Amino acid sequence: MSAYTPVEMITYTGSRILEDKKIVFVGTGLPMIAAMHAQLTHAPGLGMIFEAGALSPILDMGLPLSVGDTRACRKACYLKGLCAVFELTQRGCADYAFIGGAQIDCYGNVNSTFEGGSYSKPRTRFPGSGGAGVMAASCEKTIIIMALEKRRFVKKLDFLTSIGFGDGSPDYRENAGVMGSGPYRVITHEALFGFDPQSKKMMLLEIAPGKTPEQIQEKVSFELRISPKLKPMRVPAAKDLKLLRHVCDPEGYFLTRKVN
Amino acid sequence: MERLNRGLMVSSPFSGKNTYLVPACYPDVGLLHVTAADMYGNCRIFGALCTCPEIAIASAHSIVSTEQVISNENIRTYPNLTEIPYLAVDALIEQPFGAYPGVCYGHYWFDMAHMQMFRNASDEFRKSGNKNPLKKYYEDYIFGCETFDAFLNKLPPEIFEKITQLDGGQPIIVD
Repeated sequence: MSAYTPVEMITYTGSRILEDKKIVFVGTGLPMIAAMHAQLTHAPGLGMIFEAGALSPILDMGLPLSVGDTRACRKACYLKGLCAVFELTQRGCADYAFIGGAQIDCYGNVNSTFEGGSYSKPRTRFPGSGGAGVMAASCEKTIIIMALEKRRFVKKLDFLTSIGFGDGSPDYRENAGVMGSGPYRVITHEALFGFDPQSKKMMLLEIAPGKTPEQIQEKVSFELRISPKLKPMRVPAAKDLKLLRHVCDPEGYFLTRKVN
Repeated sequence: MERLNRGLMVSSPFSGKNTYLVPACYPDVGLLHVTAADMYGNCRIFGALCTCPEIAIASAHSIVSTEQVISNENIRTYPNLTEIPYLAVDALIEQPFGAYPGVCYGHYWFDMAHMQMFRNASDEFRKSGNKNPLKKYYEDYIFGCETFDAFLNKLPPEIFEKITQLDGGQPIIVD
């Protein structure tokens, strides 16, 4: 079994932080694979929500290619539409929102709309919110996947798509009329971040083997807090890689993509 | 003038908490495809509803295509299964494989090769500015087809069996 790739490290880390018997609202791609892997290992009772309308499906026909794929409906416990599943989140039923993005700031606010220029004339236009904006505003905790690069870990977002801790003030989320406790983890292939409970600023919790906190700081535009209990990231074992490659995403739809 | 965000923060008259309001959406025309419908436009949808019922009801005019037309008697046997009522539907078209190359729960899955072909042509236009592959796609499959069946007739005949198998026979109730 060859060494793990950056994408596999991200997916494995995503799986490992999902607890059993919780509900995770998953976005397209790596979050779905991470949740599948978690179900097959330490979290058999983990339930998934897909924004097209499925609650707790059994994905025995294979990986859905998007949250709108009919495979995401397979053997679900409840299958309605977008309004029904977002109502579940607004009633406090979803423990995790699991999203991706293009830029993040130190308070866990996320941009997945555009980079550079203006909204009308962007340098790069991204797909946009999808469900992420509402997920981050109504699920209990937000988990974010991001490539570890200076141009993505920014001091100021070009656009705020998904709300985090806003400006970091204590009542920001409540005043903004949103629910949930906000950003929880930020996953990259070289570092796992959380948030300092007081300042609400991003905090380095774990680093990949062989990396130093200085090397991680190099790739982040804002000043990182470092956890006093800084730990090494666990790496996927051979059995995890086997599951990821042969069971979760055997066609390599998402796992063979590059972290960019 | 483009308005980026028309939302409005208000104090809830009930709880006093900050509550964010967004304006309702009033489309002029809604276009959607459903699993089954009767001749009056009562629609049954299997698989995730996404926002299909909301689109149909919000739109001033809704045009619905359906995999098959079923009897009104069948609709009335299982009224719980009607997701869009007849009064929201202005026009109904029976069109098997009407969601192709997309997916229709209980009938067929995506044609990934066809979608990839369209995507490659789009990507080339986006990245290099070369619009010829995308133009050819539109000429071949859209402008060159008088009807949807003409479009389907341009596809390799074996594809329909393949995408039907890929659905895996997800159960639906249509009779």
